[in-house]
Amino acid sequence: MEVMVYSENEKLFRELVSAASHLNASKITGVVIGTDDDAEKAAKFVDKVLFVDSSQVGDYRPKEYAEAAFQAIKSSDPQVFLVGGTHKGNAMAAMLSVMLGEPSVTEVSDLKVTEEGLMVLRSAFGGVAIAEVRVGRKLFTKVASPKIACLKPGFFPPVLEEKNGSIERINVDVKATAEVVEVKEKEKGAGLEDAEVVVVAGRGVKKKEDLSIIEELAKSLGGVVGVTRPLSADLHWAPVWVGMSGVAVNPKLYVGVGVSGQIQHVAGIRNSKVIVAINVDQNAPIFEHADYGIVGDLYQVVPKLVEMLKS
Amino acid sequence: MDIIVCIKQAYDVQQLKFDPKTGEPMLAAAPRKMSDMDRRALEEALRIKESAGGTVKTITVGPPETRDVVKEIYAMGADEAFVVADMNLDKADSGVTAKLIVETVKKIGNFDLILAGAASTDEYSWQVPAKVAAMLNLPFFPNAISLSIDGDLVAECDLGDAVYQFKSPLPAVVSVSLEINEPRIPTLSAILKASRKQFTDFRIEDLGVDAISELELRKVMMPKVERKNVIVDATDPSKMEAELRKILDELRKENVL
Repeated sequence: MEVMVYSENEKLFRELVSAASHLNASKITGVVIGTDDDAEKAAKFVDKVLFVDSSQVGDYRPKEYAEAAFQAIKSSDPQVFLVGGTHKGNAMAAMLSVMLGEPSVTEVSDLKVTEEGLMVLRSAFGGVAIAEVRVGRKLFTKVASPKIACLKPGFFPPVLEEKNGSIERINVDVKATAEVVEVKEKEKGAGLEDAEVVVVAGRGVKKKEDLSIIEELAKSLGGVVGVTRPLSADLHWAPVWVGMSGVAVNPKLYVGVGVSGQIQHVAGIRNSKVIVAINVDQNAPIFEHADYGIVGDLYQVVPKLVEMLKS
Repeated sequence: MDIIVCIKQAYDVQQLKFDPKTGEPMLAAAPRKMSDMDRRALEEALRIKESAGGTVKTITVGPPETRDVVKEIYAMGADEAFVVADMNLDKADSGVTAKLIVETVKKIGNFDLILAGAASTDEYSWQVPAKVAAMLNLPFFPNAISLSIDGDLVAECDLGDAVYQFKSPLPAVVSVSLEINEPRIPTLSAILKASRKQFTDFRIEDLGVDAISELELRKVMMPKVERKNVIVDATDPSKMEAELRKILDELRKENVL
């Protein structure tokens, strides 16, 4: 079985290769829409790279990139197409699904191929539950018509370099409809996705300046700071937030400071190994999801913890 | 500007309860609400109409109880609501939902822009608006944080690693994020008036769509993550240090410090 993978994100690309191996793929093909350099990097992880030079398609736009991928797929015969589940990947996958006439499934955390076809686990009901879903009524019948699954980041260990795949250059003919006027790179979300320790500030933190005490705690734990949705989306204290609709984290240690534990937030921290919560309200829902809870005023507790960690 | 907004009446996941024995969600008793991002798509459409004129029509696809959302759609200020309701649509996948929306769009006829929430609060597939665009062969821009129309459409979209500003001719399809606006709260009199307004109620047969989902939901369960729930009380300043030490000792044992 040939499995095809695509992600614009280098680490996620390697996670997809790992997932493809997990499916016992006999051949793993990577689609790269980018530069020669991108294609060469990708070839270190897969058997073959289908390389579309981004000068033929321009910057990312869902329709144009889906069309490029659609044309690239035709020169191969994948049964499953794994796409990195970012905003870019999800949008492209949806349009590609329509072009191919094959189903797409997103928010996937695990998958397998059985006699019945492709089976996946995906998050359900805004991340509060997990669903088992069969993808497609028919099994692999047509040539170059893969079922599409978009994988959430962080569920498969990224593969390390081990291959020397071939690179096939694909010429595509994509009609551009939209123009990319500007690309504003975002401030890095302090490496939240990869952090071993994440300390998250919630609405219990009263002023933006007070984030400094949260940063102190993160520093003494060797971690990075994140915030909940209201602090980012409403108050603009940080460019990204931790939660189902923002960044999902999977650290060894998560510390929620003044975080109430809204279900969408909890869904984004569920894969943390150990969860610690600090909240003044003993009835805060976060305590139900915590391994260790500290009921107390964060303005007293956090400086004390920093002091104790330092000594 | 004639705008069509896709609005889902989603499960209110905040209020979803799980059967303690089977671990399955108790959907029959679960309340529904207008999906958060779709509400913002409607708000954005109304704001464009208020500044540039035109119409705002809405399409809702789902099981029969989703008809309830129409009252709120009218109360917020939409001109005309279209619903496709069927018992089996609770299990509709993104492909089926998109097909039904597209056929309804064709019944409506003229439009300049289609808006929708980037993802629904219960399903979170991020697929439906993009599929609608692909089926209509229109450009698509996901997760917009701001929109303006100046002959062409200009959309700023948060794509995770960067914010992209796209410029595109109309018609186009745009999905909006939670950040794009703060939706209005309808007045009581608007709600009262809204309950008397008629809407177009389609059946699947009216639209000639093969509504069999490719995605088949086999099982839904609560994720099993057992947490230790060791809680200490650090509200008394004289005992705080001793209580915190207990937690730090545990964290050292867990090997996470």
